[in-house]
Amino acid sequence: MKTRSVKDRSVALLAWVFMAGVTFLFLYPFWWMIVSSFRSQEAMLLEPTRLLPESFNTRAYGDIQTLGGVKLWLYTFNSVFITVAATLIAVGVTALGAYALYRKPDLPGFRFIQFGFLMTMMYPAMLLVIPVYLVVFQLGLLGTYAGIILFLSLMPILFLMLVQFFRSIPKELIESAKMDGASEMQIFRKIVLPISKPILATVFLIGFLLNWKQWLPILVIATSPDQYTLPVALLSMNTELGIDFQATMALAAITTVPIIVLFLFTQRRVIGGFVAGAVKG
Amino acid sequence: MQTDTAVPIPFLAALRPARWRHAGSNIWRNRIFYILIAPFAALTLVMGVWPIVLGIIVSFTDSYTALTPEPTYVWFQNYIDIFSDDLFLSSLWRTLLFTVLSVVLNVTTALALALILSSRSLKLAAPICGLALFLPVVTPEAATFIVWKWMFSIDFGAVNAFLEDMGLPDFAGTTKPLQAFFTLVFVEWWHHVGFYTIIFLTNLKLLDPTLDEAARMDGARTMQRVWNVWIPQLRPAIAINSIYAVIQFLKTFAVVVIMTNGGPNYATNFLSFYAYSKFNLADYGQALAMATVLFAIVIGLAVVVYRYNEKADYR
Amino acid sequence: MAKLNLNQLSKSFGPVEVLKPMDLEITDGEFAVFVGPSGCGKSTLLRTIAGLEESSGGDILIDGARVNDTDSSERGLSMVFQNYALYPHMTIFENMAFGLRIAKTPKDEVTRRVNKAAAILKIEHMLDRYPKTLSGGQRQRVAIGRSIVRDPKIFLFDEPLSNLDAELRVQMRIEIARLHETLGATMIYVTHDQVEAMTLADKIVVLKDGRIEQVGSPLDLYNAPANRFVAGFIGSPGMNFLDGTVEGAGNGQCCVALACGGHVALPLRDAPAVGAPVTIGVRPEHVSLGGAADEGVAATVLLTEQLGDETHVHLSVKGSEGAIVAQVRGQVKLRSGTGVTMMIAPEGCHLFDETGLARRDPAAAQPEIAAAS
Ligand SMILES: Nc1ncnc2c1ncn2[C@@H]1O[C@H](COP(=O)(O)OP(=O)(O)OP(=O)(O)O)[C@@H](O)[C@H]1O
Ligand SMILES: [Mg+2]
Repeated sequence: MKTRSVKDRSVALLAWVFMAGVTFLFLYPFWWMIVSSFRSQEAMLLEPTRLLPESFNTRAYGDIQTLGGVKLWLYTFNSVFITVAATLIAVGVTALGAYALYRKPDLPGFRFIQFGFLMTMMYPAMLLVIPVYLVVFQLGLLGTYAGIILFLSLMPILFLMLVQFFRSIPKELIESAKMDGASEMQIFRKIVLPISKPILATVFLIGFLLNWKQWLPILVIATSPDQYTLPVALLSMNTELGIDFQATMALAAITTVPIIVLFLFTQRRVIGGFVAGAVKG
Repeated sequence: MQTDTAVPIPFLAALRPARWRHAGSNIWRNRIFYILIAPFAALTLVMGVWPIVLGIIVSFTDSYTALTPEPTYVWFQNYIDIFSDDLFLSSLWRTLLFTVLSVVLNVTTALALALILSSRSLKLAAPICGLALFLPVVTPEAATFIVWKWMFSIDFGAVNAFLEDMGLPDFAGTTKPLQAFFTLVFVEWWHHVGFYTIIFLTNLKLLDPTLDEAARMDGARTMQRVWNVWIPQLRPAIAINSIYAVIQFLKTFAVVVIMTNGGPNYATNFLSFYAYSKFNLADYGQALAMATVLFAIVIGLAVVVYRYNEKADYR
Repeated sequence: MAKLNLNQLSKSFGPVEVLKPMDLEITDGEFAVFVGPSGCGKSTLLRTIAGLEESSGGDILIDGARVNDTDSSERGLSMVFQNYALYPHMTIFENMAFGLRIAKTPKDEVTRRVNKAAAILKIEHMLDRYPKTLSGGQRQRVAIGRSIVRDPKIFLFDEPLSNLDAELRVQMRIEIARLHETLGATMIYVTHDQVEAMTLADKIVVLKDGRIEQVGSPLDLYNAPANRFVAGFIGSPGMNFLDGTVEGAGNGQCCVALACGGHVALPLRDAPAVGAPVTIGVRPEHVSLGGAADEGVAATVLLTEQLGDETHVHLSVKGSEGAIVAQVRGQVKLRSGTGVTMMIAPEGCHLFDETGLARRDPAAAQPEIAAAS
């Protein structure tokens, strides 16, 4: 018995050490990014792995106020505006569509819509951008917010999560409302919508996080940096705007830190939502 | 068994033929559902079906005329061209190799991490570690990939500094072909493994605890319990994670654009990146021929998986 | 309050005909119970009447008006579901008021009617609470209250008590019976529990494989089951069946030789031909133990169930696979394996022909036993 507990404890210790290492591996790049944004390039060269900056050198944050001739606040505004608008549209449109498809999958035409959506889901998302570029070109929406937002509001994962939720509503609830004399519109507005509020919030959050990350569609549909979001501006710094390392880290931090904070405050909802969409999708 | 984990792509059910019964009155009676679905249908058509169809059409046309009102159809010429292009063929094999490697690596490590995270000895540390693992899934890849790119830089990257501190030789990172390939395997793993871990973790929490208790009563040791009790029960989760991972890694793209641009010496020239670089050269025909090939691979896989699951359901 | 008529009503799901064409009349104020084994189509029939499923053929008439094409929201019926189906985001009051509000009933009228229904079901004190804070029994009360409030033409219940524990079930059963008495409304109640059916119903409709097997009052079904299925389904413990052969008929009598030995003579003018295989059904209360060995059937005790006031003795007899149950008054102690003599009261015997149909004279006379082995 005694040897067993000693062994148990050493196994536990091993697990602790191992997981501490793993946690470090996953957090360190973020920490390194933030610290580096406050350190000059020379200091970095001398001592790349310092855990705290020797002094808070905020030069980079000043330098990136204008990037590629565009003000940082415009990139930020674009990020917030495009992300919020696309996510709102995505949640609204997808929720209505998923509800209709869940309730009446057999109506004439509905199978086709579902089939089309399925195909869209399977088309490699990154490469879909290529034909979408052609479509947006034909629609005359190249270089507009509308073109970008429209494409970003097609979000398959939200559909999976919403359908999953609708399926979990007991069908007697809807039938009961029918027997109470409610029309389909009343059922949707007075029964389904109120009980969907939590899932709509979750889905909005996840949509927000995912759209905030987007860069390729925006890069392709935008025609000038005026329409760039933070991640796209960051990428153009990676390639075109030279290799000011400290400034790159500063912009990366600006792009990332708000998301980390948002995620930490909403982690239960976000992780739960991702899992629900994936496990049962 | 958790049947809900066993059917990953139920929407393939949409492939079944529709039943068109007494359509007219049916449509009128259900007009509310047509109204509800209208925006969704419009969005799917404009941003999904139309681009896909257009993409397939363009893959049959001459790139120079693709955007003109009357494109020249060259039919399978673009496909013939890409399949006689050594760079395309090598990118295809490279993508498949990368996918296989990454799927195995991600699924096994995610499973191991989930098992460790679910063990009681970690107590409060487990949720923190879980959060750390999941963080890369939600943070912008543009930022994290750039950070990793610099982390691997020879001069002031943290990776080599650590290696030096431990007295190990430098790692070439993205500057040498083979190393660049494995750098991407690692960074993609860092980016995605948290997702698969959380899925396993959720499934572990859903497991039937009585089985484990019974095994404990029988005096089974931890490793025996893991092998004989937990892993068999996790089989559906392993299957679903593997499928997600296959689809995920087949499409690997962002990390290439951001960290290596396909180099050095095409060592990280993956299929979707190659297609995209064709697109950037305005070679729409070949770019979309490649996209269509990748699309066909994904659909083929999905159909196989769907068939397999249907069979498994009847067992 | 209304009456309901089904004319050749049928229902198919794809190629499967779940309800075969059937006729049924339920009169005004009647309490009708649909019983039958699981999967026989009870719920489907109820849901078709409610309009939640579309009928495939035939007519549904409520007060003589055809409602097949009327939406369920406009048929004026109400339904209580097995899982209660309370709206989770509404208080009990709002749950009960929902239908009235949809119908744009004036506010004070809504309050008046909800309060009245709440008083009948004794749930006045929980009107402000949410469904998830209620127990199963309380939720079912609310669900019933919700349908009372709307004053429907017909109340529909689909196994409303099967999620409750045994004690609560008995209590709610009594309340539903009282409710029917108070309201005098037409009610249709689905259950697979034949005790509920017997105690509640004015009229029982026995279903099997989507077909109506028999319609009648509880005692009609108990005393004169139309066929072997109904005979076995109604009554607890169930009727015993013994195989036999007709060995003589005439004079208004039919004499049957039982496979287990012994003979039964029933009064039956229209008896099957001599030599025809038949089944004799006898309820446990008509099986007794003891008596002279040459007057009964030899049997072996399998086990005894002591209920206190009575004892159920399970017996095995020659030529019968299942046990024969005898219901004996008082407390009888018999070791298993004991040999006994089993007596069958001929007045309690039912005769079923080869097809399972009951054969009996319109007015049954007293049968006599003629037993010898
Ligand atoms: N939506 C449906 N699609 C196809 N078949 C169905 C559907 N609903 C019911 N059935 C079939 O119809 C038959 C009758 O089902 P129903 O639910 O009416 O039985 P029930 O008598 O209520 O049984 P239980 O006592 O178990 O509730 C069953 O065989 C069932 O499989
Ligand atoms: Mg039922």
